[in-house]
Amino acid sequence: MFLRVTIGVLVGVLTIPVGMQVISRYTGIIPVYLWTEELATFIFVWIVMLGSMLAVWDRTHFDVHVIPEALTPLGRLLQEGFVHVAVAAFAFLFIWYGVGYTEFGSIQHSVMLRMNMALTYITVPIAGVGWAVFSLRHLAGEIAIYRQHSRNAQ
Amino acid sequence: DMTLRGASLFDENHAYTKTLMKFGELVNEYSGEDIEFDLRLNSELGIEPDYVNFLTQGVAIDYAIIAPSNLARFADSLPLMDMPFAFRDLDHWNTVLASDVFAPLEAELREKADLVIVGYAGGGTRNLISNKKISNMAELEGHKMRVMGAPIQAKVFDAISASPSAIAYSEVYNAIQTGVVDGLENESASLAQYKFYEVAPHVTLTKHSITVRPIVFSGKSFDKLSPELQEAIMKAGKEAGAFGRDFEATQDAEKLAEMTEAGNIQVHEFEGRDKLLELVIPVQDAYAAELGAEELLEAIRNK
Amino acid sequence: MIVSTGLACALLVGAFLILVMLRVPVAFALGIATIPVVFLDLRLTPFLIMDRMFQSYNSFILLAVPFFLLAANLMNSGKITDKLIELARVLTGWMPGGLGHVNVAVSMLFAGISGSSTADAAGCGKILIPAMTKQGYDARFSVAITACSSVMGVIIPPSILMIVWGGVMSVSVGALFLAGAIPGIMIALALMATVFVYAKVNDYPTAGRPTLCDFWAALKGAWLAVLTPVFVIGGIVGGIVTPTESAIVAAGYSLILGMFVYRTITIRDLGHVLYDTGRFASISLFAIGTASIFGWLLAFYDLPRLIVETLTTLNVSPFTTKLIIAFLFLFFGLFIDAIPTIIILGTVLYPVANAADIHPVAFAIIGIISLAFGLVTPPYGLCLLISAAIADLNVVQVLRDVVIILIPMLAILLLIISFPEIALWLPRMLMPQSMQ
Ligand code: NA
Ligand code: NA
Repeated sequence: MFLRVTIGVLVGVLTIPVGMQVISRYTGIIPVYLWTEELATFIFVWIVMLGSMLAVWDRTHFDVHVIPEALTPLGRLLQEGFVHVAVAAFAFLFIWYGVGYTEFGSIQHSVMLRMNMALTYITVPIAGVGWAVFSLRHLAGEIAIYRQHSRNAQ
Repeated sequence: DMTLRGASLFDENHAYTKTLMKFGELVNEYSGEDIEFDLRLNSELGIEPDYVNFLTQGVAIDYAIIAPSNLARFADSLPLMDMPFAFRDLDHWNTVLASDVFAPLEAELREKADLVIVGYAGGGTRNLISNKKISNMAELEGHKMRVMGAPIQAKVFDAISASPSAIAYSEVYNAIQTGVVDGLENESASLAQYKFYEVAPHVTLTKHSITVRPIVFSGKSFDKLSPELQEAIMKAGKEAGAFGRDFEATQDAEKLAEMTEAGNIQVHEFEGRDKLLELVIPVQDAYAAELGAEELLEAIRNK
Repeated sequence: MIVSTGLACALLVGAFLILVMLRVPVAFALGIATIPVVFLDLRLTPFLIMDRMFQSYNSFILLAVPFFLLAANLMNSGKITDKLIELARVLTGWMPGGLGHVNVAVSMLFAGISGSSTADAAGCGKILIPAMTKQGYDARFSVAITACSSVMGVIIPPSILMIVWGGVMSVSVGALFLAGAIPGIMIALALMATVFVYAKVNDYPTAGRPTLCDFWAALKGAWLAVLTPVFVIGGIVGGIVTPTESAIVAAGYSLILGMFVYRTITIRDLGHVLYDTGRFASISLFAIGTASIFGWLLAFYDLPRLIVETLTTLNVSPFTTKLIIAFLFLFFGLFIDAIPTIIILGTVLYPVANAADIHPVAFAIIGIISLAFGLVTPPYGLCLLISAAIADLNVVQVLRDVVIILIPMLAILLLIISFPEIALWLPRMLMPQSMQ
């Protein structure tokens, strides 16, 4: 829920710098801002990375159904489980190397706002943590379903 | 047998690409080795800010030519290298680049971004390009012009009484056509390539900037090489840079003459260019003070 | 080790296909497939995966994606879609197969306002599919025509795909917009002809003959909305706004219409619209990131040069090259979303098109129309999935009708491949400086 509200708010906030840029250039009412573009891209990165976490949780990342649905409980566990394990593996790569990447961001600052770039680079390990937690939760859910089936079968 | 990989935004005829090819040849000549130089052209591996990240981390490529503004993320003072009115003329520019005046900037870049500057290319002279004749202070006043997005650019042109605004490069042509701005400032090569003269045929020889383009080598790759090879690279970089500067400066003057002859542009001298310098000096001083680079600015001026 | 081009491409494409078959989300499959190569090759490190992905978002032009989605969502939420449907009804509903024509016409109107096909399929489909089935249209046909007509959203300007294409390959977005107009209208005519044949064969009804009064009322309801393309396309072609800015102008305009003119959007709705936009935009945009690493690696391993050399040695004609390009986009569109395909395949084929002397704008239009087909082709066709879900049908059930409707559209694509001047004429007339 927190993620959902944040994303909605960020999209709303995103309209401000871009809107200001348009208004300032064509009306001259407010001076031309050089930092609007920079700020907009920073918000944008946050929206994308938070959204990617949420989509792992909602399972709304696009996937392709070519092979048929598994019919047995074990087949389902393997089919679904593989997806969650794969996403988690990618997530751990992002957590592990994302720390170094954030450090790489921290030695840079943006040209206009003079903001430390770690503030946006940190979305990389954060997204990794989000994907890992959510995909492992799903994996646990699948295992629980499988156990339930085995118990019912006995 | 070793491979070193470089990257260029442009095709094989561009001055920067030629400079980097020359660099490879010279490295082999001075080191006596047979290194393969795999130079990837036409922005195949990305654009300059991407190259900076690769070089800093020592992945994918080993060397490239980078505009100082793209290094500002790591080291504030780098854009000082080619800020407007930094150089009096081509001779002054050449003297500065052949000297070690920029050594403090080089050290800062090595420390903060692990990048080694091995030489300096560049050599495009930037002038005003406008849809009306500008030849003196009166005509310059309030002139609506597009400038690059760095704060120092806007401040300098504001100081000389023009009215600068930052517009993306890709939109400039349309912006002049529709009267959002009356002109821009650029070098002859770009003027010819993007045919800005179709909408803005007047060129005023303000000669406010002469471009400086460091040839940058990845510090991580550099440290892995033998001292002999490192030395050869530094020597080759300086010479390739000098070659590139000569090549581009000559080409730049030729392009301007060609366009004048073809009747594409009308060239105007600026009456009282000294007045411009006078107006800009306080802005430059303030900028250098902000960066703590007063000594450096002084050193450039005294060369 | 230094990985060879052949091995690298086999590893990348092979791993990707296997992962997608195993139902790993496409965006993650693209990223995961790059891991083996990055670890194997001495010259590369995982830094690249994060850096290429992260830097791909560092593009002002991509901001147009959420803003155009926002505009489309605001239109659906603000009942602007209803007004457009009413206008389409008085304009085309009197023909045999009335609601079918309305479906095509409203997609055209919607396409001219929004850059998104999925929002069209969702918004118009929700109203028209039930209405069509109620009037006795075959549900399968209703779903198929809704889905197929929605693809005009990315062909008729403004278009999110064109903005991304222009940003990635440095082509004038204004020129692309203009180039899409005539092919888009041709596709609309082809669709209407198909509806006409369906109506004759199945004896489908008209949607009533409008009186002058109806006509006037519909026009009065919709004219403010229909003005949007004037601002958006006029603004870009006239050099007044940039593509990204035009998207926010469209969103701002839809918001004003919805909140103050038609007064159908409440603050509460607005919250939902913002969240929905962010959610959907970030799913597409995230895939752009992982596609960027994938595409960058293909370029790093020199795949484009390999293709160009192969085509040169085979002495392939420019026409055949164009066919190959269209085929590759169609094929990739079966499995992957359009935007990531632009980043992977567009950048790989760009040098190929250049070498064959194909105009960059013609190349873009061929690519974009081919990709538009991907929106309605299974296994992964978002517009088809959305439309089928509205009618509670399985994609397989509507496949036959989709194929029938796509055939005339394919003919149009072939026509544009043979005579690119159809697309190039308008931008040459209005934006000659962008066409050099
Ligand atoms: Na559209
Ligand atoms: Na439709």
